[in-house]
Amino acid sequence: MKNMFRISAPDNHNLTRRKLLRSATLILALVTTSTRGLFARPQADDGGAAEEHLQQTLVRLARLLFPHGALPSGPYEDIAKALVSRAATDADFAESLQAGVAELDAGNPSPWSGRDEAGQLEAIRELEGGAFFRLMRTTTIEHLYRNNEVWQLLGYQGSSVEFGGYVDRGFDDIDWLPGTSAQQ
Amino acid sequence: MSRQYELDDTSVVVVIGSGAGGGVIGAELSRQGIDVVCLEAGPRLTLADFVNDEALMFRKLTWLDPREGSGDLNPGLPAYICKTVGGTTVHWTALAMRPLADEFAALSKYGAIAGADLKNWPIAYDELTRYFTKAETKMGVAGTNGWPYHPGSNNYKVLESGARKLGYQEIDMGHLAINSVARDGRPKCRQIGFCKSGCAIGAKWSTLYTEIPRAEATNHFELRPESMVVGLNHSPNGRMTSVVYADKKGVLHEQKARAVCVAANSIETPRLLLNSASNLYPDGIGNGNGHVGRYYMRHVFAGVAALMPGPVNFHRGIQQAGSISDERYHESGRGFASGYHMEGAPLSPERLAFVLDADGWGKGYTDLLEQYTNFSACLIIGEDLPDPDNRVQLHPSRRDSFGLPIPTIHYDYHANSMAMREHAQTAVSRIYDAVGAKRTFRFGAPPATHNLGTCRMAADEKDGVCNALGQVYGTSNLFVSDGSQFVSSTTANPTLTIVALAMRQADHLATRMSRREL
Repeated sequence: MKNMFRISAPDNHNLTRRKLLRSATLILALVTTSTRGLFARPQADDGGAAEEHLQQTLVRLARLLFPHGALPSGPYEDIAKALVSRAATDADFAESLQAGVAELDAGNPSPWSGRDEAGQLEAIRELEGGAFFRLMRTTTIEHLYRNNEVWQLLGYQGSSVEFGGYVDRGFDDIDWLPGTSAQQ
Repeated sequence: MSRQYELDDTSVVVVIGSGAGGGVIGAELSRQGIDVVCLEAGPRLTLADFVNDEALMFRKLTWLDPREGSGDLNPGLPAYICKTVGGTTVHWTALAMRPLADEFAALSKYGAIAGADLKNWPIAYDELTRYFTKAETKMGVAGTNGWPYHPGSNNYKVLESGARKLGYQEIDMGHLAINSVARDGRPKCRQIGFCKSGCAIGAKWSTLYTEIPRAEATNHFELRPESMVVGLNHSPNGRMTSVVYADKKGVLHEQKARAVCVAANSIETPRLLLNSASNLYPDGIGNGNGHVGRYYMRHVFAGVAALMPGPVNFHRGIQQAGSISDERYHESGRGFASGYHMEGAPLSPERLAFVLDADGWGKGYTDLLEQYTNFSACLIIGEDLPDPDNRVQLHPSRRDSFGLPIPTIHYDYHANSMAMREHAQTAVSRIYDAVGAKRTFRFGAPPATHNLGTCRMAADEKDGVCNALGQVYGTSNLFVSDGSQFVSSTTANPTLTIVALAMRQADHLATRMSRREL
């Protein structure tokens, strides 16, 4: 009886067998003890093109996952930088990142970054629920929604102690509710 | 400089943990002239360390030692506890709520339920009531002792308005252990928000800046922060003789003890008992009947966010935005036993983005998030049931930096919890709909901060780990002093009960010590 129920188990939600297989592959990539890696090994002599491609792909992916039209590219670039810099010191992570981008690029003659927006979105939908998608969603949320520029865009005012709290700054200023009576 | 005790001083009571259980019992014992050494795994922060930054404070306050979760848990962060002087009283939202008398008699009230081992608490409610009153007075709980309730915040007003339209009656800003007037040398609340990140002005009760400095001032108390207890030593007749702990450099020390109170939260407390196995206690101290670590309870915990027709700005002000308690009462015919509270609570932009839709992304999703100021949110906190298979155990192979087995936590939701959760989320959604919500969103629980029941009390040794005073069966001077003692989770947020039990236990210890029984 007990095991019939699961709360908030998004991994069990709406997953095709193919996606499950893919996430299993990525998890394997994450736990492998290989010391090889995208940046941990000597770079191929491509003038940094591979890293550039990765960076650009991640920036675009982060924006398509959480698009805020009014936002400049800076916050999205920060997300890509964080991922790339972790990859530089963590070979297994680098491998899984590379595998994820390869996944996006696959199945189409043109690389993902060169496709139109509809094509790019379609490719992201294919990755939904997989380990790479989860990594990108989590990383993007953790960076974007801790960013001051984004907070301003959303109207979140954040830290208040330096302003004496919200006691005189609208903690109880709601004006559209009929018939409210705050507890005395 | 507070008093310092020698390691070979056999007259001290060693208290393990400095939160709602340990901080309180340490203060209460020292107030009565009993010498206490309090060992706390975490560092001692000051108010100046508390900044209004959730992500930063999460890293500063959280117990992040390795653990593994299974069942319906986040495997990497299966539960939330704090590693800091003051323990979870630094992080808590300060809702100091009394359980009802019925809630201490779960078996009598609800009857036997398959998949749970319900028991009544072995304590008379009248006796607890006396200590609830003392605890409320100590903590400065708003809405008690003539202290006013806090004024309603925007998030509260949305919920209150909707709840009243539906005919709910028991609606208030909650019995919050946050100063609604300046008292106890601490200021009145300034509606800062960020209660869970440590109250930067000390308006919220936390043992960090109330009980602990007060205990130090008695000259009968020494706090040793960054001291991780790794084992208990005992005599052949079951008397605890010393506590072994590692200091921040990892150097081991052995503190002699007259008695030991363990209040390390419901994961580390049973872990310590299990890790202290010996010839006398082959399966761990107090585990002669196999109960240590079992009946791990949280609360039925979930939420509803609502997109409202106008600005709410739910990030402003006290995070615990009131409670609605009409649904806490057990009623037959609802399809589940016991009940739940609805408790207003904001979400930061980051949390909103994570939970509004656990898989959400894309333009439609960010269009919602950009309406951040118009969101309201409410949690439901309901009674969880004691399932013997929900338990804390030692990992068979993984070891921590001290070479000790890490804890594993297994937890499956009971069918009762699922039915309650459905009922509760529907009730909250109706409240929001009653005040014109454009959309409502149900979300699941983060890792629990309410961890209970893993060394439960029992009138009979064969049913639990400790007796009605928290004394561990099979020992003469070892006490469980935290939420691990809970027999049932009750519908109430647990801290007030933990504090009341600690005050009661301190009185008991003091009496027995004065009679030279301990």
